[in-house]
Order: sequence, then structure tokens, then C-alpha cells
Amino acid sequence: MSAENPTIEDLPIDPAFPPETYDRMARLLEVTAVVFFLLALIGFVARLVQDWAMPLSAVIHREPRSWYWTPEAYFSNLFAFNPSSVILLGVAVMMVAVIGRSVISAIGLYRAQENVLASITVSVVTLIAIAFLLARYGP
Amino acid sequence: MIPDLTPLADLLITILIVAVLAGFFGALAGLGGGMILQPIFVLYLGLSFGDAVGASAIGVLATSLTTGAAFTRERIMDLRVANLIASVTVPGALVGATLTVLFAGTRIEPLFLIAFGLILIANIPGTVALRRPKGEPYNGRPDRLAELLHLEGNYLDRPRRKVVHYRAKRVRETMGVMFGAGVISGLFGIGSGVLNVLTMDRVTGLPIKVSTTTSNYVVGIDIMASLAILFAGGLVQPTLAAPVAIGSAAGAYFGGRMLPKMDSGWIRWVFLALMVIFGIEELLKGVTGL
Repeated sequence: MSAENPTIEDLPIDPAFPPETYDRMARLLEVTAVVFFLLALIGFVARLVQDWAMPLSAVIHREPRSWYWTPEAYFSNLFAFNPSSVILLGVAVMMVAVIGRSVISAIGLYRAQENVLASITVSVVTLIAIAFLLARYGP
Repeated sequence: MIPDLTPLADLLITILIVAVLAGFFGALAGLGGGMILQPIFVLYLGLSFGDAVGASAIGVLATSLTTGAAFTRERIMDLRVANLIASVTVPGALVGATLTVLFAGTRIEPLFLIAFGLILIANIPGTVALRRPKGEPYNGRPDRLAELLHLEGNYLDRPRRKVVHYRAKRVRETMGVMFGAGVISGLFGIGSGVLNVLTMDRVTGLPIKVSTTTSNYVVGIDIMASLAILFAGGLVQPTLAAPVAIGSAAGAYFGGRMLPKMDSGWIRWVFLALMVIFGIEELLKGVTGL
């Protein structure tokens, strides 16, 4: 430790949020951001390829002999899934990151016996979860 | 032979390019790209107001998470303040998003455009105010609520090479304003970052770096809550959301990396000018649509 040139290690340790808590949150965000980015990219490329290839492949389907030899048909087969589902899966991954970060906060606050703020944090997470459940299964 | 782009592919690639540029320059200007994405979608790309809100919200969420990891590792954000503020911004965002779902596409929609135009213009003095240094962070007597919830902390101020201690004040007032920030966030699918930071900086008395990073955390939660409602209302089109998310996240990532290496002062002014232009255009579009 140096008083003249302090580093992040010189910060006083917060009982609710020790350095490991921040590292855990950062790792969660990094991993989910990469997974989300890849899923969104796959969904986006698939949508473009389908948009380009599908109408052509629909024509080619009538000529079975040429089916495997056209790039349009090949790609439309390769990306024969619903791109929207993949993108929505990516959004769900981001939801895990946001909720997970709040849950990690709440656990830290409970451990430090800061029960009021911990309960507030849990309430916020619960509210978001209820909103999603209502959105999915509600009227 | 490269085939001609279909209209949909053309739109998606345009959205991707716009999102990359907004994310990149938004990060350099320190304002985020959400404030200009939504008006570009509505004014120039022909998206409906509702679809633009949904797409913009996805972009803001992607940016918030991409940049959030670095902020978290620096241990600057105040998690106590963030969780407390989220307790009012999340209900606000749910209210705002519900209003958008109920009234997007109706005869009332032009009022939303007018309101958003006014918010864009109102952001200008706030953004300029944030450039003026406030002086030392508040370190006086905490108010009762701040004391009860231990709303104080420390962070490492690298340029000044010192550990800075701060305390929160006027917590009730902060929460009142932040509910409004949440409503705006949900209504328009934007992060309300300027309002968040300005409130934490000027009302709560937090240092600007703590306010900025804490706002990033709060924006992530708000937007996630808004998305629940926007999904239910059918205002999030995955096909549009993907290029916005990819472009915003990639732009913000590279913009954030370039920030220390270049003088970004002029970019901020260009951004502010764009906000004025878009604000006036949204106002006019709203007024003519009434």
C-alpha cells in the first residue's frame, strides 16, 4: 500500500460488498454479454440469410436435382430455425445478468445484516419477475 | 454475383450501421446512444413509435451490460444507492412502459412525440451542467435515511491519486426525482442517464464518477423492467432488436476503448446539436400529427 499512489486494493473493505462480490458481478456481466452478443449475431445473420435465400429455395424445392447444389438452398437449410427465438433467448440471458447482479447484491447485504436494504433489493427483483410472468401468462 | 438487398435486409443493415455509430459516438460523448437512436428510428427510418421504443430499449440494455463489467471491476458504483434508487425507478419504468403499450399507435401518440422532443431539448442544459465541476463531494452530516441505510462509501480517484470518501444526502428528494426518471425511461425506451447522473450529482451529493457508474446499474434494471411490459404489448420486434443490440454494444465497446486516446469534446457538442435538431423535429412531428 502506498499513501501517495493508492491502488484499488487500498479501498476500505465493505462488509456487504467485498472485492470478490464485484469480481463475481463483473464476470457474470462479461459472460452474459458475450453469450448475448453471439446469440443476437446468429439470429441477425440467420434472418438476413433467410430473407435472401428463402424465396429462391422455395422455387428450387420444385427441382429436387438442383436442391443441394445451390448456395441459396444450402444456406436456407443451414439457418432453418426461427431467428426470433434465438434473439429472444439472448434477451433472456441479459435478464439473467440483471437479476443475477441484484441477487448477488441482496446476498451481500443480508450477510452484512443490512436487512432493510436487502429486502428492498429482493422486492425490486420480485417486482421484475412478476412483471415478466404477467407479461408471459397474464391477460 | 451479389444479389440486391431486399427491403427488409436493407432496413436491418441500415439499423445496424446507425446503432454502431450511435453506440460509438455516444460512448465518446459520454451520453449513451439511446437518446438519438429512438428519434432516428421514428424520424428517418420510418419505424412506428412503439417499435422504436422497443428496439431502443434493447439497445440501451445491451450497452449498459457491455460497459457495466468494466465499471463493476473498478468498484466505483455505489451498490447501496443503486438498489435503493431501483426501488423507485423500476415501478416508474413499469408505469411508463404500460402507458406506451396502451397509447402507442393511438390518437394520443403525437403527445408522446411532443413530450420526447421536449425531453431531448431539456437534456441540453443538464448535460452542460454536468461538465461544470461541482467541487468536493458531500461529506457532511448524513440525513436520517442515509444513516439508516449506510449510504456512504469510498472510491479511488485515479487522476487525483486519492481515495475519496462521500456521503449521500437528501435521499427522499432523490427518490422522488428518480421515480420520474424511471417513468421517462419506460415511456421512451431510453436510459434517462443524464437525469439519473444529474440527480445523484446535484441532489444526492455523490461524486460524478460514482453517479455515472451507479446510473449504469440502475439503467440496466429499469430497462429490463420496461422490456417485460413492452414484450407483453408486442412492441419488441426481435428482427429489429438484433441489429440494434449488436450495433449499440459493439459501438459502445469500441467507443469506450477509444475514449482515453482522443479528444472527445467536439463529439459531445455534435451530439448535443443532434439532440436539439431531433428534439425540434419530434416536436414538429407531434404537433402536426395532433
